[in-house]
Amino acid sequence: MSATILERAVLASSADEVLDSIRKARESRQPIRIAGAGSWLDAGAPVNDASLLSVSPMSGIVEYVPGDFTLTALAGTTLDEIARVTRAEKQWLALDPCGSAVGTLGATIATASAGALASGYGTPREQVLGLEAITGSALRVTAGGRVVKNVAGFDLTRLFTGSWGTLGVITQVSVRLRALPETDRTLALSISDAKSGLADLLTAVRRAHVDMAAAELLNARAAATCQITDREGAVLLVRLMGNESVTTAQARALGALTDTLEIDGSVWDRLRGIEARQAAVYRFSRAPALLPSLHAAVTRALESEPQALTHATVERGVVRVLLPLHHDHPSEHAIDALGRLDATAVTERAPAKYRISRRAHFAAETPGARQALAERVRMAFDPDCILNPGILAEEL
Amino acid sequence: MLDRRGELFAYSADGLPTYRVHPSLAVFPGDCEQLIAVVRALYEAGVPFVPRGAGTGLSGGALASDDAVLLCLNRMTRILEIDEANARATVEPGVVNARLTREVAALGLHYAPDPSSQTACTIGGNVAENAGGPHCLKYGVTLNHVIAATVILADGAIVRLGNTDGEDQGLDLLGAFIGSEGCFGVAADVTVRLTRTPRAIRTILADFSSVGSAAQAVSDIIASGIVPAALEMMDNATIRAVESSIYAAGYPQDAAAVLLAEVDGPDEGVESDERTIAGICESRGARAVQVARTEKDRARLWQGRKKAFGAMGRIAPDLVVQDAVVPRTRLPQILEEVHQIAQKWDIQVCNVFHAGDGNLHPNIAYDGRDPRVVERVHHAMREIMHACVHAGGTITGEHGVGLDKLEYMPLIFPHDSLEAMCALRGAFDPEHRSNPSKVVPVRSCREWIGVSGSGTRRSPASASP
Repeated sequence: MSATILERAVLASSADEVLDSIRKARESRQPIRIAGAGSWLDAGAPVNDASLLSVSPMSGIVEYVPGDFTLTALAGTTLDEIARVTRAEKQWLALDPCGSAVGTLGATIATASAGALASGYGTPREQVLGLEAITGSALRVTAGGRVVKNVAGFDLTRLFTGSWGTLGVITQVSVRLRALPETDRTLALSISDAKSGLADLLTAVRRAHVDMAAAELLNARAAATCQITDREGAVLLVRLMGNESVTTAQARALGALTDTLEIDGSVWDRLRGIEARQAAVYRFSRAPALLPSLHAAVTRALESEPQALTHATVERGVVRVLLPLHHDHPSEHAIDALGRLDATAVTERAPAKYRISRRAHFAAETPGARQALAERVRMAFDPDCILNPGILAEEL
Repeated sequence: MLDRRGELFAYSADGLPTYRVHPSLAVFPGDCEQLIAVVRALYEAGVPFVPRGAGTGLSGGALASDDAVLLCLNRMTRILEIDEANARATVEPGVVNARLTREVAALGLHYAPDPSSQTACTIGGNVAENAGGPHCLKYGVTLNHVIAATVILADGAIVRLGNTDGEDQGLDLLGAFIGSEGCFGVAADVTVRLTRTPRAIRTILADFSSVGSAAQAVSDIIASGIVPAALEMMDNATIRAVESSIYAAGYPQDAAAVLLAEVDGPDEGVESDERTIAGICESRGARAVQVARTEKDRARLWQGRKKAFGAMGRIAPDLVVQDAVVPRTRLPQILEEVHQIAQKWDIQVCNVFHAGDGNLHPNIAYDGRDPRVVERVHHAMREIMHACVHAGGTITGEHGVGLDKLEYMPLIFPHDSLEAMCALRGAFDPEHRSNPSKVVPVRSCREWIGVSGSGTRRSPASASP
């Protein structure tokens, strides 16, 4: 944890202490900003005038049954620690959110942060089996369980996952694990920036039944930052995981479609850690089949900003943009162009006036009904509005 | 609309014969416009409703007492769009699960969640229950296959949950809606993910001389790192029931248990996985291992499993089936306990289940006309449920809570959790009009105590057998 956090935060070492903090916050009407290790504090919309509550002391494996491929850990446990413990049993948690691995499990689940592996293995939503949380209404909730199939009751696990701390403080999470694959190979494919090159390649890959654990399209600048040499221009990084015979066949199939270069798997860690401190970060998305044209549109929008880094999770239709800040603000021209993109837009972090948000419009929807529903849900769990108020600004 | 008692008889039960509640009115909207109009009319009139798909549910969830209207979605059967490029389809809630797969088969696609009732059950019902099926071991449950839904809330408001045009943002209201058993509103249409049909599929049948060794083989297969497409087990009682029915699949009648394993994917992987699984079964004492490589042979092996529930009808006139889940590593222990419980209460249990994910389906066939037998069955069921929860499991893996498992909810959820569920339901449906008496025991809902005229409800006790 950074020194700033240590100075400012109230540290909770147990669910009881979290409950206590919530009760006090309700009584004093003082909002709380929830943190794990504090590495993502500037993510989301700004939360003003809040005291900081960190659950980072709540760290440790609660239960790990390798035979069941399930693991339960306290929310403050880092992803690094989980990787270490599971690797010893030749297993792993297939989550690689952008940002460093000192991020905590709780924060990863609360923000539903997904990385390149979400392509092949799903987002946090698909990997959480259950959790415990203290709601803003001071209820100690057990959601889901520790088994891989569970439909008992309403799905509070899904509700809390990705709720950005607005419904409660997650104190413990149960996740499903996978067996470490026999082989784990990474190929770098050259892609011309022309739209049809990428579209045709992706169609051909699908037809060849190549299941990619990850497929990330990096712009030239991102590729350079990840130290990918020997490739010009944009690069499609493909990760193949599985049995030796399967990955060999898949690599061969890809090689038949385009020029491939096998590179070291450490590039994925570099990609995860790619974001500079001084950047505004956005995600634009559309249905996956439209990714090539979305990517082209994003590239055009960033013409005036050659320092911009982009990487796209092609199978999920998501383009992530890292826009450098010059004297604390990004290029106005770039922001303007990005804001006009016809795509779902989410701001991961940006100075307040440079936030971009856009949600697909659905003509048949009763105006305001979805926001009203989301507000009722939030009020049901945090009636005094003390938990991360404002962090999901665009949602409400 | 149906309002005559004789006509409504077929709608007084779902897939579980033990609960019968007679609705006074059933309404069958033909399209989205009619559905919205019906929901709004019911809201104005202050009348609760119970959504119903094909009525194949196994938790008594689609039962309407006489102060609620049965809202049947089975006439809304249009496939609205098939998006091949994105491997998606948008369907009305009454589309039958297997029909969707048939309609997209020519595109090399299928809809992965495959409950045993798939030739009858509807997508809308699947969404309400978060349905699973044998292939959810590899492919996931309904939750993992729904991208968006247009939901009509009880007050008639139309909300779009999820997003077909990019990432979903904000609270996962779609995730909350899936599996809410009709208590949060009605889906007017659902956009689902379609799965690419794999290149190669192998189905393996291994028979064992003890349940324990079959269970050990299951553990070994999972521990090997293979993710089978499906991994099912049937015990001797089930095998004999199946083999003496019209669904006979050629299972060895003297086997203590059979394992039905399926692997799929690229040819190389499937060859390798098939060899590994066969090897594991043999090392655990399998007497024989058969491999089906053609569509026809595979269908034959699967028939017995898919129709097992139907085959139970030959044993005795009544049937209850449970749906508890235990951690896989506890399977051998739990199967032994179930056996002991069955002996203790002198009832017959047929175990057919999704061994790969620890989802048990103890089927108890009995004669409901004898009240002493009924009592023994209830005792046995209760003990089985307690044993599963005690082993670290849950009370329902696929069938939902409905009415049937209301009494068990406090076994796995402390009071605060049940209150949180009530609060969530209250946010979706403040006046408790949508399937009001299901899933969460009434006494756990603070706001239900002292509820006044609007939004009438029936206590679940009046619906028990």
